[in-house]
Amino acid sequence: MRLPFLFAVLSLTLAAAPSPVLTLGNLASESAHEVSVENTEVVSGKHPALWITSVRASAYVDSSTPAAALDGDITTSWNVTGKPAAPNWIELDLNRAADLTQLTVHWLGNLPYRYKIYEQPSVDLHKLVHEGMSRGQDAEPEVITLPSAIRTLALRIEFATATGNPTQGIREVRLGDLPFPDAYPPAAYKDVPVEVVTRPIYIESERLLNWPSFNFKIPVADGGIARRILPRADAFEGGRLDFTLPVTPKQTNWITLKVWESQPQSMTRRGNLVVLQTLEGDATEINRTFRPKLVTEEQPAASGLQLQPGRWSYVHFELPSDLIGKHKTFRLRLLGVGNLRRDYPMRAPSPPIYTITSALAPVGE
Amino acid sequence: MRFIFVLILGLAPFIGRAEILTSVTLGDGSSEFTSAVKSTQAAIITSADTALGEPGRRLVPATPDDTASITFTAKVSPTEQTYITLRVWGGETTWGPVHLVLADASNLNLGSLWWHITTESPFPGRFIYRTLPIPIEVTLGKSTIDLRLQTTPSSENPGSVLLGYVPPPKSPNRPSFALYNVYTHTSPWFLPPHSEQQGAPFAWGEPVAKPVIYPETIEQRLVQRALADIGFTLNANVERSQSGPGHRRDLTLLAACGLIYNTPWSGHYQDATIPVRVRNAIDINVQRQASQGGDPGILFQQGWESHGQIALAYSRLHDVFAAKRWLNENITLNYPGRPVTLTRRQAYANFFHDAFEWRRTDRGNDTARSLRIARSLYRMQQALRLLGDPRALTEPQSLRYVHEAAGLAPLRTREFGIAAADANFPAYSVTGAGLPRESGNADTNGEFTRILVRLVEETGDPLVKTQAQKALGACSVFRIPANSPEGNRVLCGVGTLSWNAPAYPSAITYNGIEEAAVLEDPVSLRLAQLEIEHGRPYLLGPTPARDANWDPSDTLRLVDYYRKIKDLPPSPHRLPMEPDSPDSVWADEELGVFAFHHGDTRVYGSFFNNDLAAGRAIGDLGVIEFIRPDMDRLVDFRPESSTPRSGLSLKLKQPYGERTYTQTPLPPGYTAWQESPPDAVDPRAGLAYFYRLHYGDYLVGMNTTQPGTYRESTYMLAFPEGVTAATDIATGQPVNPKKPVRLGPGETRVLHLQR
Repeated sequence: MRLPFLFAVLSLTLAAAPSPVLTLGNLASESAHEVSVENTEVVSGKHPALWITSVRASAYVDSSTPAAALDGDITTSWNVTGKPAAPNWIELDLNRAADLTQLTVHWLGNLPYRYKIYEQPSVDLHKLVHEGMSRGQDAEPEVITLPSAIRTLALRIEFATATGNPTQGIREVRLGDLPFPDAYPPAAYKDVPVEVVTRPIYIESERLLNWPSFNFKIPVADGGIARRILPRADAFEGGRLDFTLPVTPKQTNWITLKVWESQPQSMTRRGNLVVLQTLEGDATEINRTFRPKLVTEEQPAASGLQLQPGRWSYVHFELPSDLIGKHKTFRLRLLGVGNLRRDYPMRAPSPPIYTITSALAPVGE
Repeated sequence: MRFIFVLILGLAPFIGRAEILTSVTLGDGSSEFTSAVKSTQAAIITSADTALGEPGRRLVPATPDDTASITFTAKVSPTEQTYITLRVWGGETTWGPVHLVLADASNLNLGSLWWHITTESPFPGRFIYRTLPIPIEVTLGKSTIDLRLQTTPSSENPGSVLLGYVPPPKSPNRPSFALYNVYTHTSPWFLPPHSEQQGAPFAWGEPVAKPVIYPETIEQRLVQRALADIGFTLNANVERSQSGPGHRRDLTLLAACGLIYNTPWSGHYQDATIPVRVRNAIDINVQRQASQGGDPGILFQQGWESHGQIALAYSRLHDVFAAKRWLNENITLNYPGRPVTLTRRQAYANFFHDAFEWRRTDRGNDTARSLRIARSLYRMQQALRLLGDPRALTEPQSLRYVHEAAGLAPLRTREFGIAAADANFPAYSVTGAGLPRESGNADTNGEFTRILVRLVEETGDPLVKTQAQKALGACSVFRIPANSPEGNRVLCGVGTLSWNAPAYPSAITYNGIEEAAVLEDPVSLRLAQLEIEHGRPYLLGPTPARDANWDPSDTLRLVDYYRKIKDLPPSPHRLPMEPDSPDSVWADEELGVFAFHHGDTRVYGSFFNNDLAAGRAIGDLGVIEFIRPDMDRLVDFRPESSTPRSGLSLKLKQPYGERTYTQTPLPPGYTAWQESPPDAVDPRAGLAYFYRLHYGDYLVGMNTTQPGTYRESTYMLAFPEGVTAATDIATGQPVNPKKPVRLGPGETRVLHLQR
């Protein structure tokens, strides 16, 4: 074989080899990896700067938790009843330090509230920035303008107990001038989960170990495009996503999905597990199914005190060396199957998958 | 990946006649003296009416503590497998156990010689030859051994077993069958000496004649029976909930109520009292489940179908429940310590949903159970959809459970099934040939087409219908001409290949009328028309027997089924084993089962049976039922097999030593074959890639590997030495015996050999 021809073949081969990273939702990447789909959807989201990640309160009744003050529904509310021992408060965590000049509160009931607004410029400091008296009407929200702009990680609204008012609370809170009600996770996404967790908090320098906090998950990451594999009403299995990735011959290769995880339970428990299948090769290679070997998570907040609105997770599939053989690329399929035993239909969309990576080791974190 | 193996095993000379080593004619003084026969409680019997007047000996223990026995000296091969053959009269009426024991100081128990469930006179007027392998461990290096036939297992090894052993009945002092001759020989094929008398060749009896006291038509009799069952059902107490022996019948009757209500000719069409009874009965069951803490499993003792029957009862009358607004009424359920009031709709939905969630977690892996549970799951989902429950699965999703149980989707009810599907080596509940994987053949539980027919009706799914047609096609191979105890012509099943309940003979079986009405195919129609032609409906009395499997819904439906098919033109199809059918070969390589019809010879065989390896490794027992007009042979044999080396094996202890059983190579991605629990393993760990049997004039080769799987292989079937001509029975074409025959994956050949 003549040398120039060899170079030409080599160049062609190199040019044809797709990247080891498939970026889903990206047309060029999907085309390069020969993506073919059935029953999937492209999702994306950009989260406002004042996105609230969690909320907690001094007290609440079970049917009217603090989360109801952020659900975009003025027919629901955060309620306290009876006679609390101290002023009632609701505390909102933001997804980052944010600048704030105003907020809007839709109070519950027609009695005026004497209230205070606290900022949280650092993790362990609450600082009073404003106090006042509400107008005492339930019909519409009330804009509260702060005396000066603040940069804060959280916001606390506190009001004195009115002994003559058995039911007190807030219907909705809106921070800044963000659109109402769609700016907050529970209102923006119907399937956004609210996870109740207990965590330590400081109140008046006293550390309370197990305070319930309502942690809003968001179903898509901030920015970027992804695909979700959807359940089907007309079939047991859900949708599929076929693609081609390069692999390293004769080695154990790992296929890693980078997904945005917003649920506390495993995928198999939620019924939205995906498995990996091989679509080419001889009888020992084709139609093999691989369940996730392991799932790892990325925890961006090193302090551990910041509640997470969601997290990146990495779903790893191990393709053994005897399967890879001499293959330099492999045609693969992600299939929504619901759970590990596959004894129940896929019930929920898979977490959004942002990238699929082929490597010699699990990728992530 | 394909391999070609040339099987070099079994190049033994062509054996037209087995080499007889020992021949004992019991009751004949000279013969018994030659073989040093000694008997205890085994008197000589002679009757002009039985066994063509020949003498024999019957083991008759005097008391339950006694052991009757016959001891003799047997010549055996010091190097080859030795077989023992018993000559037994097919008109026998007593079938007490007979065990084989090594009559030396060891008293080794070598196993049972007759473990079939046998009724009186299984093969009247003719002899049966029963052949089994003597464990080679006790014959190697010896030319004679002393053997004892006795009515109880050896007391030295009371728990020891041999191949396919079934525990003896509780009355061990039952008289055995009479033994006329005992032989030892070195081939599984045994050809009786020409001097031996044989009975008159089998002739098919006359059909059942119409009784004098019988309605004018069969249809009238069926209606008469249905009306009797309707009356019985409507008079039964279904407004109760109990767990125990009676609950199955209660729920069967409850489900039938809706069918009676919806059947125009039932005499109770749209009878307003029926839905009230059904509602009350369901309420009671729902209430009992709640009062037991809401646990569906304990309600009916982990029953397979109970909740599904209640769901069926509801679904059949859902329109009435909706029209009368019963679903909106409140009922209070008495959960322990916390009464809960909710609408009947919600209460029923919770009842079915909870039962579904419980029942789906254990769907079994044997075909009959899986099908029944799948049917129950499907019915519960149907009820949930009618109730408008948001948790209900869609119809296509519900069908998956049915498809899995019916072999239309990979079986994933057990770990082995999940792993197999992941490895692209899926296990199916029904084989590609249409047999249930459960029993290995179409007998007893394997006669599963009736439940498939019900599922065709209930689901309306064309895939299930096609599968049911295929299954019935496979079952129709296992229909042999026989005579009933009354001497009438019938079709019988074949029970000798069964893994779990071998029977000889098997029951009278058609499965025709209902199948033909629903499946609408020529095979089922032929079975139905034979059932009618043989006069079987004339045996139906005015009232059904109402045994354990009785279902009044069946009695009702039979009327409509019969009306649908009674005037159809004759089916052009002929069953493979019908007298006027051409020679044919049928096989199910996934189970190692074969059957062929050659002239007046009908043969059923299995390379894969209930040996001690139990599917966990390649076994050492094959079974043949070889039927000719003048005699039946029931044979257990050692199969020749070939499989690529896997390095995997099981060691199993036997009374006579430890045997090593090899396992087949692992599917891709496996690290080991699952070996427990023993009832939930992948039997393909024990299915050799290639089997060969040289039996008499026949050579059978079976390549069990499946195309498109990691096993896919091609094998060469070698002829025995001395064969000068051969014919392929399936095609009738000659085959050159000088060259081995190539067998591709999933291929079986049966060759007739000539010298």
